[in-house]
Amino acid sequence: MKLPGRNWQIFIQCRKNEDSRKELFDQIWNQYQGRIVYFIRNMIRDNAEDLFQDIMLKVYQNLERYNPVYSFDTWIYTIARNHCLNHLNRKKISIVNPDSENTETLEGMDNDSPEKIFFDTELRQNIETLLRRLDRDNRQIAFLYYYEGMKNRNIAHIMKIPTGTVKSRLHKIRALLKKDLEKFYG
Amino acid sequence: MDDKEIMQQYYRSEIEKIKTIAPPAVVSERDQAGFERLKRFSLENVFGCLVTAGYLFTLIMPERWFSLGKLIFSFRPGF
Repeated sequence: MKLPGRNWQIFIQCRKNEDSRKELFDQIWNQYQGRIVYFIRNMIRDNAEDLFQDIMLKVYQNLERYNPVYSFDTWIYTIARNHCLNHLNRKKISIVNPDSENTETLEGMDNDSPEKIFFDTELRQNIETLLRRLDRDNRQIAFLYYYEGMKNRNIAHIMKIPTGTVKSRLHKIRALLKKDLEKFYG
Repeated sequence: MDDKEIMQQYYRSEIEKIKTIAPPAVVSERDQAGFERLKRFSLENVFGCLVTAGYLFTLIMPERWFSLGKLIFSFRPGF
């Protein structure tokens, strides 16, 4: 069964009964796992999988508090970001070092699929160099904008910054992208 | 391809590389992991409250209120 696309369907399904709630939770887990783990790795290098499980526990316990007026993506990413910030404050651990993170990414590349072959090129290296130049907040903003396709106001809600700041940061990111990747544009 | 498509493709390929784990499938497993919903109240708590309230009532209840009061006080040592 597909995850209900509409926020109200999630809102209703988590209130039906315990089985329905658990089914919904499994769908959320499967749908968001990769995305949330990647989002966490933009902030914290280690324990992304453990943090994801903690975040999902929070999601499970608070499903009934979800307000369907807001996007579910915004809700879940807000929980994820707040949890990561709390974790950073509690542990005082070092913030992700993009250089080592990306070296690991390059080493772990698998050339099986055409898509992966495509990115095992100069283009991939250019993107990774670019992401290294961004700070952790801007990396998250870029991910939410380019991958999740979120609107500025939703990104602002997750990042707890004004919408205008999101706009200006996106402008900066796009300018960097244009400068570095223009030759790859079709 | 524009910047949006390039970045989407990049992120998609990165996310695909992340090893996924299954959600806690068995209910008992989830319970052990603390995934059970927090109970707002339990029968044990309600029973405990009733017994405590009853005990406190016997302490403050004037003897002359009810014949039950007299009965209870009659069993107190020294009366």
